[in-house]
Amino acid sequence: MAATGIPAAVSLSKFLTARQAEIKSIVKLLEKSEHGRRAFQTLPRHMQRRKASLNPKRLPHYLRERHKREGGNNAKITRRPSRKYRRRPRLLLEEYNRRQKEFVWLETHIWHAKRFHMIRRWGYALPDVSTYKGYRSSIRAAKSSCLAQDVSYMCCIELEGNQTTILAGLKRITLPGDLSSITVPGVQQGRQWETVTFFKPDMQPHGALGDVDIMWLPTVSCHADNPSENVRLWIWVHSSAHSHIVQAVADLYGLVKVNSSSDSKDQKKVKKKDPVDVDEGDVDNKVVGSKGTEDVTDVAPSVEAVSAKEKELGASIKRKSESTDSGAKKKKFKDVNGVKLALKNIPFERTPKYHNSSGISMTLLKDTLCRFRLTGPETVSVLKAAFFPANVQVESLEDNSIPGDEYVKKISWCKDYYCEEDKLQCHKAQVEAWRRLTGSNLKKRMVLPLTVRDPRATLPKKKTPIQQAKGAEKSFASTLWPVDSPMYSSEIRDTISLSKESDCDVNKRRAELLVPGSALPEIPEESKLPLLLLSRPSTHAIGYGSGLDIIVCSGWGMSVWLPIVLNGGVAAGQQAEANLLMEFLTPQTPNLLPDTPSGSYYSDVIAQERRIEYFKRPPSCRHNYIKLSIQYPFSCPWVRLVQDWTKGTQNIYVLRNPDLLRYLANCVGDAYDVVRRNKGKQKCADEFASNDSPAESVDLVMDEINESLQDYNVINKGTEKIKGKQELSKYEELQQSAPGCLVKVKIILDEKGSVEPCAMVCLPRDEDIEKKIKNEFLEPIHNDSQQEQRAELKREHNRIKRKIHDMKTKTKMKVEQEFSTEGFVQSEHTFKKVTEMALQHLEDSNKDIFEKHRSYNSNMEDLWLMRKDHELQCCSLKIVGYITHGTFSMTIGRGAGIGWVALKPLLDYLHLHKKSQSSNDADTDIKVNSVLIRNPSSLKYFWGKLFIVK
Amino acid sequence: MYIVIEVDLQHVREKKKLWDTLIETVQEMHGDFGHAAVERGFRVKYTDEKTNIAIISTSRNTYPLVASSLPFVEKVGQSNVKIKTLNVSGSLKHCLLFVKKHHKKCLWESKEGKKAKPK
Repeated sequence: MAATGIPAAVSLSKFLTARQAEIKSIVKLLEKSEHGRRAFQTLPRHMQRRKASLNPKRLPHYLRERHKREGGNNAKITRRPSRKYRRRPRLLLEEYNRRQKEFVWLETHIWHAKRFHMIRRWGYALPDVSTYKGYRSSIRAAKSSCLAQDVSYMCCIELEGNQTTILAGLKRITLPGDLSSITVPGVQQGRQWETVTFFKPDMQPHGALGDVDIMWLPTVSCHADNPSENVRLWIWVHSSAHSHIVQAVADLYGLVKVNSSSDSKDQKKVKKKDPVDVDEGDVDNKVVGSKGTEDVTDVAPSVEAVSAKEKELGASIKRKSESTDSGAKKKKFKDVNGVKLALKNIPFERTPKYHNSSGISMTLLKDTLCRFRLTGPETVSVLKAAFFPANVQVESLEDNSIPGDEYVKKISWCKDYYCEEDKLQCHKAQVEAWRRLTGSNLKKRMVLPLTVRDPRATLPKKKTPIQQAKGAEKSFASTLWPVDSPMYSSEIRDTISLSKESDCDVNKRRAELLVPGSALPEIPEESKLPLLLLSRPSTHAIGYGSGLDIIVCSGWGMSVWLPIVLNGGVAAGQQAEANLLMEFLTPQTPNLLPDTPSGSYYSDVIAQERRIEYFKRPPSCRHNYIKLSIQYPFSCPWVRLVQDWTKGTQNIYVLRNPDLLRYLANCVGDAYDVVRRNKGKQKCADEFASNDSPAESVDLVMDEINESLQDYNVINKGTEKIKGKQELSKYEELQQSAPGCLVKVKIILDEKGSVEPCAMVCLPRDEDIEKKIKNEFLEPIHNDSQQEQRAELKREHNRIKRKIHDMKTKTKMKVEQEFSTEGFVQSEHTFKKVTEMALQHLEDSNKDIFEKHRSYNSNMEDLWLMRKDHELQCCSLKIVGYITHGTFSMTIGRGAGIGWVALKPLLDYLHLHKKSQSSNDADTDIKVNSVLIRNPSSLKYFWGKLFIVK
Repeated sequence: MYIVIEVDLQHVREKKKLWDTLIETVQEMHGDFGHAAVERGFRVKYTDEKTNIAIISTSRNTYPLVASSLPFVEKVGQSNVKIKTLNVSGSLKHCLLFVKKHHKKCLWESKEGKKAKPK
């Protein structure tokens, strides 16, 4: 102690404690000192880790918090694993199955994913639109060459049972007209297929579920028309309505799902085991497929039949693999096809089945068949270039073959199937008919089975232009085409799928050819592939929209798709399909129909997407729908529309009666008017030509006019009285069915302009008709009544925001104070925890304020749109319908759209208009079918023509 | 440079007071030049009243001026004090380490009953 006044006495304990305390504080200070070095540097050098900067867990836990504070946690791994690593074959195959677990992939997925933007819909990953500019080329292809689309997302349901029982059931869920069309002998023998609409039982015309394609499979005794015989039929359903229709059919016949828990279990096991199997296959030189299937037999001995069959199949594949292994090249062999099929319901025993006591069974063949849709006049030419009929002469095979040789398994089904003389004759007849087939003789919906060579053997080296197929048109008749096909047998389908030769082997054989790229010569051991061709007649007056659907066994999708594309087919996605709806009037899928459950569901989904897209823009860059007076800018309110016109209707439905539709089309069609005014079509054509419209559009419109003229003439032929009576009765029938009824229409604009989705179809008033000559018709700008409310909401929100902020800060301060007064040492973690708890408590005690704060965004968005309880007819004109799909139409050269219109106002309008026309003989520029269209984005009304779509 | 000093802080109480006294002494000893040279970077970094330890920092080039004037401090305010220089080092950390060591020594001596050797 060095001071002038030295104290007389020193308290030792005081003296020591003071020093002790200082030592402690210094030690703490020194330890806490963060100057000079980073946290990880405090470790001795041999314990420092370079990776600690990325991964804090490499440090001892007492340093981690400091390390994070120093920014050690913010380092991110920006590097992707290298492409070489990502694309190792083992990983690729594993990934292939793993990535399609949530959304099923089409077999052509990878091909499409490289060329298309993909969307996920209906449980599938589907190509949407090409990454190239493909809008015009796809329509051009469908119009003049060949448009190809993979529609494997169509689901097949197999129904088997007594014919009378099945028909009795179908009677309850279809329209009477549809039922009679599927009981036509041609259809029942399996020569033709039909499209019908399924409804909820006994609710027609309400409760539609969707359109389905029905194919009767040919029975063994084709000619005997025995009603008690067991028949099978395939129902092709769009995947958006699949579950509804399966449910409906199961309820209809009282079908119960066969307890396939063991099935699904071992299916899962197989799924799980597959990646492991791949590895083992690598090591043990064994085949994956066979191992996978043998595992099934081990797991589920209860399903004896299944296991026995699978064993057999597995064995056959194994033998094949052994034979390849024993060949000169001893190479590691991997059954790629087998692994890819592991997720699918192959073999047949795996498919879900439903049963009832009276012997009717339903099998869901979803994802076990591939389907491709070709549209366009050159479809047959493409097919003829891509596929060549196979030579299935069994005798020649047997002569040359050594029993037990490899190829025998590959084509064993072929040998078994075509050993019968009549089957062989049938095939010959099919080949003969195939030679005569041309695009122009596909008038009906026919089923054309054919067995072709392995398409990979004849694959062209590069894309080749379409060459016109030659065929003798006159001698072709559908009756010549026998309907037997190996496709109808589930066992043969399984064999074909599972015993597919790998691409690698085919390519090797092709590589040995003298001329590179030429087709392989047909040899007996080449595999054969049965196809089912379904011809589709044209959907449009001029003959557009005709084509063929191809059905093949699963596993062969890519092998069939490639030859189609390389021989001139233009690949299309979902958006091209949507355009064809409008251009060619192809039938609409259930998700686009207003009266099906899937339709209402998907319209909601799309509305939500559009809404999100709309509110992504700032208010100054988006339309104010209140000022534009658009109540429903994102979706079409069918139920409200119908309820608005007829009070008290609950259910809506779509008019499907062909007679009534024809009558209505006749009423609406402008033929009557044209005849009366212009007395001939020449003048009309001149009028169109003077409008500077392209020649094509004139053709089209002329065709439509001609068609309606013919209808008119047909009606004219009858005597006046009968005609009057018929019309009256039909009119009454229409009037009766009017409440709750929607009619599908096509709108073509008169002048320039384009149609957008959710555009409104309005009826003109009398004064509008006078104004038409000027063609300037605008909706007045409406007053934005909700502007004040929005401002008020914003003010309130700001108030709340400030209040919440204050409250939170106060709470935090309080917590901090408590901590400091208590004074005990606490880690930062506990402090955070306590703060969080306090904030949570604050939120709980002020629920309403926080709730308001949270719901501000949605409330504000609602205030930017018109209120839903506002009356529907908010514009100056009466809304009668909406457009669901509209754009600039390539085939017409004008804006056009497809939509639905309520029947009741349409009928009233027609009635009124006819009266006024009969009273007033003066020529008016307005035709009966003239309506006004307004897009949600504008105030302008466009004049357009309305056509009923049958 | 950091200098550890022992000074009776009971009377000093404030860092500012100590600082003023020291700078005054430097002014006396080395004149205006000394004052101006030392003032920059001259701080009282650390004080502990209970153990009468303080640490002051100076810039390295003016350290001799400060160190030479420390023995001549006689009064802080009204009270008489005497400043004892304990240690000089380059970093605050080492000063603290020294203080720690110094106190430990004190403790050890009192525990063993030995008297600290007069320096």
